Amino acid sequence: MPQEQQLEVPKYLSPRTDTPALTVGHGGCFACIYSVRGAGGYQMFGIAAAPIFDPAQLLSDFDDFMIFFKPGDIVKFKPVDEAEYRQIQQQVADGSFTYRQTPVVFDLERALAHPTEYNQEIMEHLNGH
Amino acid sequence: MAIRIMEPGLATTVQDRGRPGYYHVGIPQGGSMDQLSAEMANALAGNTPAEAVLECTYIGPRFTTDADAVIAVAGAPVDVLVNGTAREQWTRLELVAGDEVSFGMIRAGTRYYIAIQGGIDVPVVLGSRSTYALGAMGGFEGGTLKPGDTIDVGTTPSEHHASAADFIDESLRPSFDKNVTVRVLPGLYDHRLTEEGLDTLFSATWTLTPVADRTGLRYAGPAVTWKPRVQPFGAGSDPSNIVDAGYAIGSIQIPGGKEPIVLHRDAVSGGGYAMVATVISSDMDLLARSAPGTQTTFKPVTMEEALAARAEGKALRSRIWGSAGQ
Repeated sequence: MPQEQQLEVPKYLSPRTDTPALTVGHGGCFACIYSVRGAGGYQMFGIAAAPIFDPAQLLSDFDDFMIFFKPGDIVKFKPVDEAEYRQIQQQVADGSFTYRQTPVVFDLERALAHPTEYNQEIMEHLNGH
Repeated sequence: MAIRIMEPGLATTVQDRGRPGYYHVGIPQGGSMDQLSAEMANALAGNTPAEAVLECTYIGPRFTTDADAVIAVAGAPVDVLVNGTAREQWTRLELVAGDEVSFGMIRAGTRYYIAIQGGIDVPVVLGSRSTYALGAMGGFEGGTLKPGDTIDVGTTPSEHHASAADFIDESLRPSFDKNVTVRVLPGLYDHRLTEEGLDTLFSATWTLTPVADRTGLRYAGPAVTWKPRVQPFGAGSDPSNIVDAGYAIGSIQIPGGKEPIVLHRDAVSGGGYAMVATVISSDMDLLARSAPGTQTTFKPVTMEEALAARAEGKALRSRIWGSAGQ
């Protein structure tokens, strides 16, 4: 994304000593999901409904390893309302939740040349339409 | 054999030498905060240095064992009671099945360690039995102990039943002072502080605040000044901010120029605050022993001095383990 389209926000001047697990944060130009409860200095603007770290490896997305993301993964955040949040939590609890994901070969040149269109194309690839 | 926890204490966890190798994916090394005290407890109990122990913070547990057992308590000074009778730290204690072990209040420091012959036997997760409580992994059911927990004790191989040490001489024990000098290696971002700011960091006496746990320790003292600069895109607006980078264990950050934070064994592996120095590995135990209020100075040393300190620590451990050395 061109810089003018990126979110850039200040970080805390005195970091928090506690942050709820799965808080979605943003600091500088970086987004994060706090995988576990703990300290943090990014601003908090949401909470993810499903885990990204599952030490017990109960969900199928964690069959290979207890950490979901790998370097290079492209992540799309999707806002949900409380009803959908609860529904996802129920699926997490009964072990049926899976992340929507698809393999993609990222073409940096195309992403730089046509960021909006290329982003749209990746989203269509993910959503299957 | 098993240990039955009647009262768990404040934040008692199973720890060993740690879980190296996963920091790059955000899983901290963890392990006993005060590695030397934990190792001494193991030596006294007739274990190898690798056995898991109980780490007790401020307030220890009350427990019984269901068989005769050999234990040892090392670390912060505390009254050790067996069936209500005072016993010694820094020596091996022989228990009869059903004996009740409890503790008084610590008189200094922060943590002490209970080793039991055979070691605490919990499942090995990613190569370690250490508890990472924030991540609910390792240790006994991923967290601090609870009333009623029954924790298995391992069996000691018959060729290794003799204690490496029956007693740790006072001259070899760590101290639990209210004044400590912690050696640090400057960098990576010490050049971002003003000359005055860097001088303040290394000359001031810093007071450990109550914000101190397995993740890190926060210190109060004078403010330090950062050189003003035009921040690179994405770093954040304060000169103490950087474009996010990996954090070293023991690294010191000073967000906003106030309150240095030293990351300890359960810390996050990266973030966006400039690290001005890193505590040398030999002095991480000193931080682990520090109680809130401890007056602390950070003394810059060279890599050669840091390595010499590590060699000294190794020599001390060789003396403890003697012929049973690991």
